[in-house]
Amino acid sequence: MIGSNAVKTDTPPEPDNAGSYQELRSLLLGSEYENILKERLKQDDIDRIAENLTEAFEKRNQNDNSLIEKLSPMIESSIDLSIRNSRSKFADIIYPIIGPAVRKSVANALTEMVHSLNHLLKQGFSAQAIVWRYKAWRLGMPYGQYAFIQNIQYRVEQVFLIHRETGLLLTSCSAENIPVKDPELISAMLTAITDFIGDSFEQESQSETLNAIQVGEFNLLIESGPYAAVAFAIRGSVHQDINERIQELCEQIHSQFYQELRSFSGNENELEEARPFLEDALIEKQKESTSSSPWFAIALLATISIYGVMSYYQSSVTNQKAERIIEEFSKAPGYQVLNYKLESNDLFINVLKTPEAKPSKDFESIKNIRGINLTIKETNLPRLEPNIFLSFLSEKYGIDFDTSKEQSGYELIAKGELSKRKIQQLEEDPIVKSIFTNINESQLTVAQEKVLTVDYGQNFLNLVNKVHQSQIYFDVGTQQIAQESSETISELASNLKELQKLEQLSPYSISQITVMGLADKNGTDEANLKLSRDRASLVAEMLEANGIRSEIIVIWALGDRDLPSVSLEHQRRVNIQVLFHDKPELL
Amino acid sequence: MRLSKKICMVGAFAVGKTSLVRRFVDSIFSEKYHTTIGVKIDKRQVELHENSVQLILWDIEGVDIFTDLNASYLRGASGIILVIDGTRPATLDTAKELISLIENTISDYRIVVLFNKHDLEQEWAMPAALTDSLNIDKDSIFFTSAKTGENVEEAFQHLTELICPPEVVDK
Repeated sequence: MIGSNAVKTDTPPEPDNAGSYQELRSLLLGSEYENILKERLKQDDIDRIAENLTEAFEKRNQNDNSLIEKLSPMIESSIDLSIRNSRSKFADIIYPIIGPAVRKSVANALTEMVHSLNHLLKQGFSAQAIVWRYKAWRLGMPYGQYAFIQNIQYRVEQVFLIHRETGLLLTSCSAENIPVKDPELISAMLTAITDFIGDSFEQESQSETLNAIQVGEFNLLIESGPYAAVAFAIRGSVHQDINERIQELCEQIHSQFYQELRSFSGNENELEEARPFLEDALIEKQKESTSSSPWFAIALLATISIYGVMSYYQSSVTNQKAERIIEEFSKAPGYQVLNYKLESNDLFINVLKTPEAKPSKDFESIKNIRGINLTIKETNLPRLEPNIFLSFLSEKYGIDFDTSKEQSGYELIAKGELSKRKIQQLEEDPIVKSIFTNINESQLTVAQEKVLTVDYGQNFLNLVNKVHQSQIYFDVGTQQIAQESSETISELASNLKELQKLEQLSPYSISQITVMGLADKNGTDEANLKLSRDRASLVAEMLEANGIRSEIIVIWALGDRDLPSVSLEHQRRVNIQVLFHDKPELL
Repeated sequence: MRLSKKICMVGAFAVGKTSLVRRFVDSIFSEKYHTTIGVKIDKRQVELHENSVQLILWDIEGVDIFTDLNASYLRGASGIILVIDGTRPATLDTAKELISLIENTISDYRIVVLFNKHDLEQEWAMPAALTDSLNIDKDSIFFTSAKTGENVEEAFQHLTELICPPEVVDK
């Protein structure tokens, strides 16, 4: 039964039997049958649509744009939702596009900035700029505007759309920052001039009208159509681009606004929609710039560099001059520099001066002073009041001072501990020498410079070691120093000289420098003794010539004393022995 | 609505056209244009109810025995202001010739006639019979004085009303 019913569903049942079939299905399968049927039909629909969806879209698209119109809001909404839900994913996707675009934009901006800078510098510093400034001033025009005008090849500054019959202005526009005089009057006057030219020179047809007026750098270009004329006010040369543009615009206006132009009755709003077309014609072209190398910027940088070097040199020279002045003040008797300040070329010196002191204007460093503005503050100190100096000296030397009156003047009493060097400085202090007759050092103790002593002592010993190791060799049978020892002798002299200096600071004192001459075993003992003495004498003379004290040099002639194991060339030599002893008291 | 209309001022030499407009218009051009190209453009704003009408005035060089009117300047004019010197009857004759020229040159225009220098009563030489001979609507004839300003405003106002469409005038 079920099978025969299933077959029969393919053929529509008779109308009177349809209800019975339906009733029978409901009895046998209940509501489940309906559900299954619906599901199956739904699935069939999905399959059928899926199979033909692409073709259906394609075919509908060919017919009209309705599909795009309907889908667009849905696509926009879904993109919007996707971006909101997953911003970072979108950022990742568009990064490869945005990244290079941003870089390109930044690079362009930087390039433009460099060129603008160069352009500004060029305008600001060139000789031409001065001429331009003068001309701009004469024309009563801001310099910036004049400079801009000079730098453009052409610029369409104003565009007029004029009704051909009445000369009335239909609409107009102008470039930014262009002072616009009454365009309605200009429009009418232009028409009048065109009429005047036309009548004066008896143009044969209406199409033969005035189409260009030139005054200096200003050009007026007129393109006339049947109902309207387009006029360009151009600054600069009339380029082919402009000729093409004005013709194109005139044709475009007549094409788009034919009816309005034909029926124009003076209503200014009628052609307002043509204004954007006119604005598009406000074109300009800059003069070719020599952008290959921004040499103005380079020149400026070079100038700054040269100025920097010159300033540095000037500053060094000034410093040297100032130092010489300070030094002369410091050394001059009766002067004491309290402080000084050098700022740019201004030198200020604050000094104490005794009555006996030489006038500062006689100083060599001040006589020929140039390039320094010198200000000297001299405080004259009466000799009768030497106590005034005490606080200053205390601050300078770090010890206490006192004075006592003597017959010939004042005595300076130094109290405390001072290094030997400082004591020497005090004794040679020009101001002390000029004010005080004597320095009483009975209450002064010498500070021990322990740290320095250790270093100098060790250095002394090291140098003695070096000297002892020095061997000066000689050629056979002569007192001629061998080639290999020529450097040794100068090194030896230098070391001994240094040793003499160190002797002052170290805890040791040189007793004697023994110069020992030797000869090889060849020859007689007598000859060898003589030869060894000659060799030692030669070295001693060389040392003396190099500043070694002769009184401590002792020559020993040793003849041949070496063992046979010592080679002959090393037997022909001179050795130095430094004898020294500890100083009885460390100063 | 903002309207623009072309108005031509014509008349014999020295009837006072330029004096008439000098005190009542905005101008950026110098009067030397009269002697160069024979016309000077001025502008006059007239308020008509809520509308503003801009009159572009073509002040055309005075006509005398040496100088003819350049007819091409009349082209496209919506209104004509014909000025006559009330103290010089000869200027009326010139005016008649001008009317004839205008009629032959343009169409669809309105005209007002200004008998100027009305302040010079002693020298006035324009009896009513003469003024009527112009065959101009009496409402469009004004006795004006550029010196005192008499009727000048009224004349401009009247001409504006004549040339504007009814929806602007009757509003």
